[in-house]
Amino acid sequence: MAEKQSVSAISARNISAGYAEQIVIRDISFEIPKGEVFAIMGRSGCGKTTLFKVMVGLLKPLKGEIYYGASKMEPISENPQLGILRKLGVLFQGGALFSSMTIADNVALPLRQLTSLSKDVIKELVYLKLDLVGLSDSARKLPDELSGGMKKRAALARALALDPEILFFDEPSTGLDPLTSAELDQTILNINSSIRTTIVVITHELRSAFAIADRAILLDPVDKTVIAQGPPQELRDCSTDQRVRNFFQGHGG
Amino acid sequence: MFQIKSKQKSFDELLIEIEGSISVENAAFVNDELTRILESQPLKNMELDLVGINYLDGSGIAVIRNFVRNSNMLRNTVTLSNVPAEAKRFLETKQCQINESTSILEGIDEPDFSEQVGQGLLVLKQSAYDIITFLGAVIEAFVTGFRRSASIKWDGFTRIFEKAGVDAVPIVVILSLLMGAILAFQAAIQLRKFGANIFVADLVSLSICLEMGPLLTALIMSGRSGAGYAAHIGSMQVSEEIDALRVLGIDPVLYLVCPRIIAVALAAPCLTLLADVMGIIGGCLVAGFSLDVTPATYFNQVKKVLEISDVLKGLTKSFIFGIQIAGIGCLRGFQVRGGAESVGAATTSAVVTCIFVLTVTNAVFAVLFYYFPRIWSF
Repeated sequence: MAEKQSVSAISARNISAGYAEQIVIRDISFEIPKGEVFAIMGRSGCGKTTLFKVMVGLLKPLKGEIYYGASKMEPISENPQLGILRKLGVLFQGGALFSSMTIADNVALPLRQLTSLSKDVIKELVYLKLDLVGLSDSARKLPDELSGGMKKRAALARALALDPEILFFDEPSTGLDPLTSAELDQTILNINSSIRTTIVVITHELRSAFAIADRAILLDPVDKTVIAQGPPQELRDCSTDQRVRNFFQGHGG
Repeated sequence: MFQIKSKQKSFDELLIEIEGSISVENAAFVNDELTRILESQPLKNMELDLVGINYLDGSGIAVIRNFVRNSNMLRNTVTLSNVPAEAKRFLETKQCQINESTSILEGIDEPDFSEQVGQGLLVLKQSAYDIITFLGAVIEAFVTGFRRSASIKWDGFTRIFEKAGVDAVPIVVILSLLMGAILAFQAAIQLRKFGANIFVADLVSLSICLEMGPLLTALIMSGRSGAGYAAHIGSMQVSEEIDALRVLGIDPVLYLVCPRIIAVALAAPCLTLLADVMGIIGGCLVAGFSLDVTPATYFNQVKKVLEISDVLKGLTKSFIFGIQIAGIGCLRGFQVRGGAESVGAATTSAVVTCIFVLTVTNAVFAVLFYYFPRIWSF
């Protein structure tokens, strides 16, 4: 166990969470090794987003703990773990770009607020990150002026600003056409292979899960917990669990 | 389009035949027609024959179901015959009887009185809790902000100050000028009776500097800045921007609330000073035109009666008002849950709460200044 802890980037232990007496997920445990692309899958309403919120500290779990390496994640509202948060990059479902700032300012915000880098260095960094996601031409636009896919990419640039060790994607393909979403998947893979970032993707899209994930867990809305765990292809081909088969077949995967 | 024929089939049974199409355009007429037949017929057994139907949409099915239910209520027996295959599963007699869809469009039941009181108390408790937590968070943010002042950069502070202060100048100027003039007019009617025209200067300058100036400015600012902050932070809450700040490790209270509180707290006294000056000028205009008090006499009198402490009292108040306005606006923004409707509610609530809190605070100050009249006198 002690050895395992040292290699896991994230470990979730017996997480139960919910809102006002209603339990959404219960007793979820998993380990994510460093450098892995990990998918959290399941049908709508199975608690993927709740689990994601617990993992990044936005929601206090009713029970259980999340560890990043050896340090425990506490809810941000109670005891923000700046050391951990600094290592996380989060891409929200709608992008969550600050609508009153330009794209460049959005990317620059964490750099300005959390580092003591000089103006010129920040400028360079912002350019680099925007270039990485292919948005260097739109740096001075406001988020409202961008398309859905561009917004996602801009948000990705912001999430990458501090070179996080772990990246979270909450439903990256929501509202994107298959082509754009495949491009985004490719970007995710590139990030993973070039800088060995650990990546957690919350998704219900089988296609993107197959394309990018090394391993996946499948949540079930009825059982409210993990019903399968493993590489997505293996889950699809070898599972004998009817619920797992339904999930994969129902999507025509 | 459609045709309804009813005829007596046997001694105790009525046959109703519907032909043609029932769609959303004519469903109302069909319904009226069927209801008329139902109400005018003494016969208790009915057969509704749909053989001639060539088109039946959702509203048509609803009309027939309605007919069946109404006849059941009158204790008639209705049989449907030749139901189109596609409509069969919606028109089985059994289903029409059992399904009670009548109440689905009526609003959710209002809870009874005691329940409402209880809910109200819970809301009160929750909002008291929210206010105290928020106050704590703001104080904590200010403390951390001052302690490691290098870590916080309010890049938008000048912009926030400009929006809260400078942009409000025109409306403050106009309204306070008018307010001074109105006060002078009201005074003029009474003062003229006693030939005490010159005292208009006392009345206008004192009431503007002590009460109207700070309060008017505060009300304008709660409408502009308080509501604006509630809407801005509320919509940031809806679009996950606040969450994004949190996971970036940026305290939204420190980053969003503190600069706004400082901006409004600084802008409010500045605007109040402006309002004081403009109000006194407004009074001067009216005094000059309708009370025959020359500007020189007017300002001489103002100089005699108005002490620096009066102005400072007003400015102290408006400083506190400023803190309250920004705080309430931001608090209401953070309380937004859900969607756009909630943002609107937060905006309204911010203004209403501001007006309430400002008035109460003003009353507290009135008592305070009554018992300590020498505050701010040098």
